[in-house]
Amino acid sequence: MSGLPGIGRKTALRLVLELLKRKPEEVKRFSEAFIQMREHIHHCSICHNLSDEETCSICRNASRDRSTICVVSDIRDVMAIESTEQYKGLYHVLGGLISPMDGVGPSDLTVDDLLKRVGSGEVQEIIFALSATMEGETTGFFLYKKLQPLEVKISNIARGVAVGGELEYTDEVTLGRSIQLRTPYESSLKR
Amino acid sequence: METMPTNFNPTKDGTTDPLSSIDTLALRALSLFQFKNYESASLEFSSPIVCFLGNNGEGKTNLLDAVHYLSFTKSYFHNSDALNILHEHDQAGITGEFLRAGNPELIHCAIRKNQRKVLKRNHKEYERLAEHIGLLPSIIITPYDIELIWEGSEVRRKFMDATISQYSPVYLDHLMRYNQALSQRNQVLKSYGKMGAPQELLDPWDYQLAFHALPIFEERTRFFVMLEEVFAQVYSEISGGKERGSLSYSTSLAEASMDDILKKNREKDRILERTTGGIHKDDLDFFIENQPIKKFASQGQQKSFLIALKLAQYMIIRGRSKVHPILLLDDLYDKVDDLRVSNLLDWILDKIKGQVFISDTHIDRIPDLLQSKKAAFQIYKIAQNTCLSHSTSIPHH
Repeated sequence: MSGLPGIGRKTALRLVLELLKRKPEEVKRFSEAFIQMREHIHHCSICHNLSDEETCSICRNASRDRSTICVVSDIRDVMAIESTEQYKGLYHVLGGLISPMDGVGPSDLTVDDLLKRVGSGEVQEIIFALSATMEGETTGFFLYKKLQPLEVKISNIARGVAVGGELEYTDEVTLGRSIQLRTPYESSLKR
Repeated sequence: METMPTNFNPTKDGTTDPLSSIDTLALRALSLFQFKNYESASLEFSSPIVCFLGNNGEGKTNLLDAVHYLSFTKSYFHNSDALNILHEHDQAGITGEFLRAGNPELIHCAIRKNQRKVLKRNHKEYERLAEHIGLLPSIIITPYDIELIWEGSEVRRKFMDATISQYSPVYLDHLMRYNQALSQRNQVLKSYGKMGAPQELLDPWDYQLAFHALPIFEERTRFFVMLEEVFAQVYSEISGGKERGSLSYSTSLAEASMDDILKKNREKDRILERTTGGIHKDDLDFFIENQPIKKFASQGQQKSFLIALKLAQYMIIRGRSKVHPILLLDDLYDKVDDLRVSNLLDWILDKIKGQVFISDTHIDRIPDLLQSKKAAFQIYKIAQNTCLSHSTSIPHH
């Protein structure tokens, strides 16, 4: 159990002792749930989101806009964007970011599948929703180079002052970037 | 207000600010816990000049380094935090009570072996250590500065970076990202080795390097223009105007864009498995009477040059960050004769309005000198690592 992320030896021991206190049936149900989860949940064959079917509920949903794909690094990013209820398009989960120092190259990500999806012709816009880190920006640049010949609109999520944030408390780097990447006022009127 | 030509505080557009618009900064109290050779120590400072006096190896420099820690979140002497923990212990702590523009700033730095360093400002932990840089600027002048002349270009780039970072957080951000992209690109080159890394995998890092190299180059160039001017003046003043000291900034970005440099070096980079050209190869060259200082200057001349360089750094940081930095003078008599020390102190008393910490191995030479100059100062006698007695002298007018 201590092999799981965020669980050290002491926590693992606590969990094991707790499981030993519980009734055998209870632990059995619990372990069956684990096995079920592992057997039935896999990655969506289209977007690599989690799914208990061949394709995920977002890809299956007929009311989603199929011409837009939002590219994220991780399944948790899909959850985060879904909870905003602001996005009606589809996703593509890369499964990480390019980082040679961590041994992650483009071939370790689902880049080829993304290119295939875009190449199929239905897609008009790609939105990069990647972390504003060196690795996130580099991955964005790599994908941009790959997608450019496919003549699809490519956009990046906005970077800047947090909503409800005061300028005074925004760090210089973020504020500087916000000034550089300012947007037309009219676009902030659109809801 | 009457402004002496040497009282300038260069700003971005080269204008001169009166000293009155610059915020005050003073360290009022310092406490150490298992830091370097100190089991525990607490000191209080009430004077603009503080002297740490004692024999070699008693821990005078460590006190100055503790102040440096609170300013830069790291030691001036060791890159590894763990080396600053008292032998056979697992953690160390430094706490400083500052007064900045009249406001108290309580800074606490905790170092633990194999754990992340924690820095707190007024009990609140910083999310990023870089946010702290520049809040409480300090400049240290130490015998170890000789590295600036003798060691490789890395040390001189560090000098430029440490100075600019104290007044430009944007510069520091570009620099950190450039270095990160550099490590990543080198890793790509290394992992493909003799096979040669495909351009497709280098491109994104090349883009990042070029994106961050330009602002770094521009800011270094602006800094150098200021440094050249301020340094020439300080050097002529502290060396009695007998000889001319000068600097030059060499960078490959002056002739070509980062993009072109990377393109030109592509094959070389693949063979050597690292990025051979770019802003990370910049250097500063030092001259006295147009002769390279490393080869042609005496030890005394080199020392005077370095002191002037550090004082120029002081002036630039004061001008740009609008606060009087703390000046840390380690082993003031190192390679400098009595007359030069006296002249240097005159210069400092005249030009520097911030707090000054001085360390020396003699018990009375600095106090006698300060007394003769009617300066207010405070003494801490440092012996056996922990024992600290102090006295304060108020000048009699």
